[in-house]
Amino acid sequence: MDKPKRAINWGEAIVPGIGLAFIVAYFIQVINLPWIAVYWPVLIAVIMGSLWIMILFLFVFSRVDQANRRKFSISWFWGKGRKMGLVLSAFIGYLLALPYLGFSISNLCLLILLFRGLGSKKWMQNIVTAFITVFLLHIALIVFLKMSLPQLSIGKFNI
Amino acid sequence: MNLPSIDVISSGLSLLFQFDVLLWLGIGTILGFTVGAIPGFNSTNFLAMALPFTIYLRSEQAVIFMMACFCGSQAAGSVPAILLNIPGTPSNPPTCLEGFPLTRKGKASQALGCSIMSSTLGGLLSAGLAVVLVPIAGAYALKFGPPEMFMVAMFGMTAVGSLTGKSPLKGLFSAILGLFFACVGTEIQRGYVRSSFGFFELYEGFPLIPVILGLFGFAELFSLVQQEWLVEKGRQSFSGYAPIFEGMRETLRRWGLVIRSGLIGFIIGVIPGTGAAIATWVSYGQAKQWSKTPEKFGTGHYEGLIAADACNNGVPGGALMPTLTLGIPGSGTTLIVLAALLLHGLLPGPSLFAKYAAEAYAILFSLLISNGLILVGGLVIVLLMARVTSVPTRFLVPLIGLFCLAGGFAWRGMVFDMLLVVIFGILGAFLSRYGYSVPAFLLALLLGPLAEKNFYWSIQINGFRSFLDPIVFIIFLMTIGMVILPIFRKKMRKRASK
Repeated sequence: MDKPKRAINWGEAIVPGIGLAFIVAYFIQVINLPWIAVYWPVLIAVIMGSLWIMILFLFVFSRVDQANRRKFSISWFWGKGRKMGLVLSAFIGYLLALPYLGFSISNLCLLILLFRGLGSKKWMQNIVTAFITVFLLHIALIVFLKMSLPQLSIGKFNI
Repeated sequence: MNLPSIDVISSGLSLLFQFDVLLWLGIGTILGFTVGAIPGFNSTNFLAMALPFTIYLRSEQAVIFMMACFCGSQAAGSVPAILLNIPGTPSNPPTCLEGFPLTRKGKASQALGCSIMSSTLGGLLSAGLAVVLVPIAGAYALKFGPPEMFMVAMFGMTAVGSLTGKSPLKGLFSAILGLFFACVGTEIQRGYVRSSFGFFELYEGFPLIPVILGLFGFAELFSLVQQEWLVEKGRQSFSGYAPIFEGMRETLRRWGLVIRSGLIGFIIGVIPGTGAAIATWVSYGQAKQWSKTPEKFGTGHYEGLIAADACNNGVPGGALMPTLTLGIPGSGTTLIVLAALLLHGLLPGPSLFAKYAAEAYAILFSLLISNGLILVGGLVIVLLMARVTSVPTRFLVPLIGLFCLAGGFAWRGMVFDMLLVVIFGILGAFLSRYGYSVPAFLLALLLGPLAEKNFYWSIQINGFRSFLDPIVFIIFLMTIGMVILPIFRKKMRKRASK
């Protein structure tokens, strides 16, 4: 059988890429600090660099059997992987809305949107389940545990 | 050697036998068993999600609650393995091998009874050993200075990294990446703020709870969302209590096997980075070797089931030894227990039994009670589990996500921490998808400041000569061994398969 050809395996480049980006961003910020403050991070970065090079040669530019390859595909977030994209964007939207809409209303919107988006077709069931969940979360986290989650003030009520 | 006095032990017991502490212990065991029995929820994920809510409890309540959750969830992984052939935790495949064939033969209840009894006895044996041995190990660990502590931290990270990643190289890279992430925040020597990326929220480094919730809880959503149900519908089978007691008698008849398997679990649990996943296979293998009927293994044999489950619950006691005495967790789950100890100001390590002896003893004794409760609670809960497993993921995913975000907020009351949960969730998803080790990353992030601090102290005490001390050198050789061993084993396996 022919040996698989060496090719760039983009999926395998993600984690080393994140590592490299993090190191670069880190050292740009600490460039003015004295040596004693960055001695340890430099030591770690040197070790990480050597492992990074090994990963580059063993996994990123590797002879990969195409059938067993763990590809990176943008379709993780739409197409087949639409649901992953939906979950991620819904939670990011939730975080943006939270300071303005408060915990309970943001939760309600998020739950109804996700229940529907992930395949629950019955609106009534979704709304009732979301309402019950939000009510229970409000009681448990805000009333019982007294967490200072962002709340929207409507008249005398904080929700 | 300074062995603990009766006074210290009795103060630990009196701390444990308070109504509220016992209540949280009971809740933890039952909750752990309930959630642990749901396939797809491994004990590490569950403990990570429970952790932030313990900040509302007193330190002894919180840590004992976490220990109880640990024991309960460890035992419960066998329930889906027996009923549905789905391993509840990575340590349950041997249980599937024997438990599910028993279910197919219409002996699900017997298998569950056998499993619950084996888990309880294995757990009790291991907890008893932990009560006796952990304080002795703690007394020895007190002799460790900064160079030894630095090397032990490096050993822990290397061991977890090289054994838990898809390849040793990726595991080590995960650990080093975690160490680098730990460099964010205020530096310990002079107090310089190192790279907070312009966020004052990162002045103290990455906060522990959002990171844990992101890596273990939120990251899980990306795999859960791709399946419609946790469990294929209509695959549950369960029938009454009488056969459960029959299964329990099968375990009691094979007490020698229970003791052997519990001991294996304890011993392997002590080695950092190995965990129950390896231990149960070792135990299963020895049971087959010693058995008079090895040909029955794999067809629904009680001996295989007992070996796997007694060993599985024997691991927590052993894993507590390095966690409490050295601050090095033996598994992903004890890593979260370690985080709980740190969060509640009980600094694990050599001085734990000197400074917080009562709390430490209360933790050890709580293991015994928790394992006893598994026997009672498990019987009730197995009846309810079949229903919980039929909740569709379209409802579970948003709820788990919300729970993670709320948990992230709970620690410091900052919306920024919720964002960290999402960011570390994405990072965790990438790490696990490409075979990197999430536990190694998290352990390094946790132990990073400890390693850095002890490194500087060692250098200040005696320069680089500090690392030439015989004990430090032995730990260093063990660390190197941890890197080489998996590579060597892989090559041997390749050669054997050729």
